[in-house]
Amino acid sequence: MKNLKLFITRSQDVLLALLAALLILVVVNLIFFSSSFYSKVFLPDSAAGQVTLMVNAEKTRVNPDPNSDTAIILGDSRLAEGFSAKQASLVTRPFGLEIVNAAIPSTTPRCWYYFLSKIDPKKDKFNYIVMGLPSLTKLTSEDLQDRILDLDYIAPIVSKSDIIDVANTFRTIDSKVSAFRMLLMPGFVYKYDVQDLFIHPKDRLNKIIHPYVSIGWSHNYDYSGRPETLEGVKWDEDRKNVVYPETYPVEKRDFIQTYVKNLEQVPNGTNLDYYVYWLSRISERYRQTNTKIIVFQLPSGPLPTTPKDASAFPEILELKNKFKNIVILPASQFANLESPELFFDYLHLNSTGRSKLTSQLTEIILSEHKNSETN
Amino acid sequence: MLFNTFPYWAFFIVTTLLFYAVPFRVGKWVLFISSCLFYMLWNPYFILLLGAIIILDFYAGILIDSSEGKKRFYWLLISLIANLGILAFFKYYNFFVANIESVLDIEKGRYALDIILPLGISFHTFQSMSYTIDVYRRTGTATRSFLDFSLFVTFFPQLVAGPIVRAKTFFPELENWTVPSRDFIVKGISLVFVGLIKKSVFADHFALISDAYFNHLPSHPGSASAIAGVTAFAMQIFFDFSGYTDIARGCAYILGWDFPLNFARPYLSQNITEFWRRWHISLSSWLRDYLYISLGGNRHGVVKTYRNLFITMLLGGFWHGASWNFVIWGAFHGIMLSLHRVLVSGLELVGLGKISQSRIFLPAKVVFTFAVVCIGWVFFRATTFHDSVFVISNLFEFGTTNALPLWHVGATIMLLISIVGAVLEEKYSVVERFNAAPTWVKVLGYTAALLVLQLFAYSKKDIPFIYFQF
Repeated sequence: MKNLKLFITRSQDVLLALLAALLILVVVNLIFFSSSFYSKVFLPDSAAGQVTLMVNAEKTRVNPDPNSDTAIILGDSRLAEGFSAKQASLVTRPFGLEIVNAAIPSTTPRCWYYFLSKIDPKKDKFNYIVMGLPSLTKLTSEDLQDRILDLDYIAPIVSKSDIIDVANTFRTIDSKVSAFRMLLMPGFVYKYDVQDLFIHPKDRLNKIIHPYVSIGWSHNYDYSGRPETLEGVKWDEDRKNVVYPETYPVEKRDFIQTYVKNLEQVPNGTNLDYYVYWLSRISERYRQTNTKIIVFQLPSGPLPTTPKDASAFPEILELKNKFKNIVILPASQFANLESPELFFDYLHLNSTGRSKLTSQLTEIILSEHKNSETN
Repeated sequence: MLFNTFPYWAFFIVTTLLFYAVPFRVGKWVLFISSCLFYMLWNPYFILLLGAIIILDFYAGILIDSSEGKKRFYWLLISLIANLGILAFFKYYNFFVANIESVLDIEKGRYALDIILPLGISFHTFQSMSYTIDVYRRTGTATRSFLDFSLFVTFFPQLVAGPIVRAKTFFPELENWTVPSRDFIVKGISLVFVGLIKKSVFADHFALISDAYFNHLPSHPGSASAIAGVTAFAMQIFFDFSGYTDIARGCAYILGWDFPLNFARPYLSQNITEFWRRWHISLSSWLRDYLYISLGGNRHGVVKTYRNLFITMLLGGFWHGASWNFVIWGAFHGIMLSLHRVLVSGLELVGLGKISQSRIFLPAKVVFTFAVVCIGWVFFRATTFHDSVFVISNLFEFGTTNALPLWHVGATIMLLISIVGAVLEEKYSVVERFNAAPTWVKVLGYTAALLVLQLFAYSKKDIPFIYFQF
């Protein structure tokens, strides 16, 4: 211990300087990144920018009829592209129901939970929470439990008291520590946003002034979807591959083939636990309220399609027994939309598909609404 | 375990605390065991190979030291053959086989083996060889402590990518080790910060440009892309390797060792000879002391001096990797060094020697030297000779349009910071001044460094240190 004491004595002021620097770093993060100061200059089309825009939009949104009920749609880019709140509300408004599309690309149920905590702290804002999951019957290879990318969407909205809770929802110790560090010092999360601000300050200013131009998708209420289609592209079940029309552009084929290759990857079994955990948490959050949770499988794309007899995992169906406020739609509910002419790429519905999904989903929400009114 | 990751720093802090918590004779074991663990985390089996090299050279050293006459030479020869044999097998076997197969028109890959290159093999075999050669030349004595010798070879800050520390530097430090002074610790911490910023902020961002260029050459025709790609690689390799060395030296300082300087702002060199005095100093001085001088150095006339220079650089290039491109890179520098000597002699002869030293020419000379070095880097970075020719021909194909813009404002800012930083450090020794500054200045400096690392380090994926592959 003699050497250690001598080492500490000799380096005391330097070690203290290091410690002070670390403390200042935390304080700078708290003042600069954890306050609303930096959120005003987020790149609108970044993860943090999109969440912040959505939160601000929801804070300032007023239903045309203040007495009407509200259904909020949560999902990733497939719902952002595939559902029109404007078209839906035109149908539901006469029945006293307003529909809001809050789907944000790349988000997952973990992000949605903290998003709801932020925009609906009293749990009284929504009558229906409608969540579109990529699949209720198949698992992907992505490790959703340890998806650090979720922090990009959670960091701008999570309260300091929830940091440990968020970190704990990650699976490995490495990810838990990373999540804690990144949420305590969100500079780690916003670093690419800061770099972009340094490099393109003028562009940033333009994008902040015109955020919806910068994003250019369904955050815009009047957005009507993309016109392109996959018409002619088919899935060959025997060869487990895609068949293209002769004139189909090579670069688009490469894009689709990447997706097909991903289908071969080994599914991650823990994703089912992940879905069950987060659907339970969201249902639990609203258990004592009148809010109904509606879960459905998104039209998963035409390459390949969902089998007609596909059934959701029993663990997910079991949630219906556990929570009285959750409705789980049949896995093949929207399989009729999994057709190449309704998609502009292998995942996303085009404008026609968007209109069809909106119409079918709205009908279901409206039917739930009418039922609950009758009861 | 990469130097720029959290696990490494957790490992380093635990090792440092354990090392100081026990008496030094036990502390040496702590360092040795930690070094073995550090190595085994990459591949546990290759520790046996490292152990074999240690045993071989330790006993070779003693046998050379205690023998006389020709016996000394034979023991050295056995040590050199064994070291170079191991290096040749792991690093060059497949290269030689592929070339023989090609010459004899044998089916490609028929005699190839699935060999994993042991981490840092080129560095620790050179370090170990320098020990036995020094003992043979009687410029150093053989250590009788197996632990000391093992630590000399395995010491984790320099095990993987140098700097190549000489026995005559390491053992006296080990012998006279004391708890480092405050100055040592301050210097160590500053070097660690500088190294981390060099690697994570500069090298990794420049790597994105150079990888985008060199990995997709046909997509980037024209001189602008070629200049961007090659310049980015020149910056990447400097920041990557010198950043690694800074961290290694910084860690060594904190543990009480003074490792030699490996980079001294090489891109400010006014000629290629000066460049090699400033670039990878521990390797170039190794090559000078153990190869160039062994070949006769400059003692046998002008022609043989040029020949020796050429052979030294050629083998130096080959040391980097088993590829003709590295050989060409080495040969290119051998030729450039010889040409520089010819030019200097020529200018002296016609009486222009003094004028050529004028400060007016300084910027032009620095830019020209950098350009020459960059041409060399093309062979170093490109995967094949064909790719190298493509890049070099594109470098001079002015006026063509580019398919994709590679260079961006961020890269220009980094380049400007690099130039200003290098000039300031060269003229005013900024880091040294910072080390001597009051504590509050250090708090500000450390905070700034932490903020820069937090906000500007590239972290989307781990980009390994370039020299780890050697």
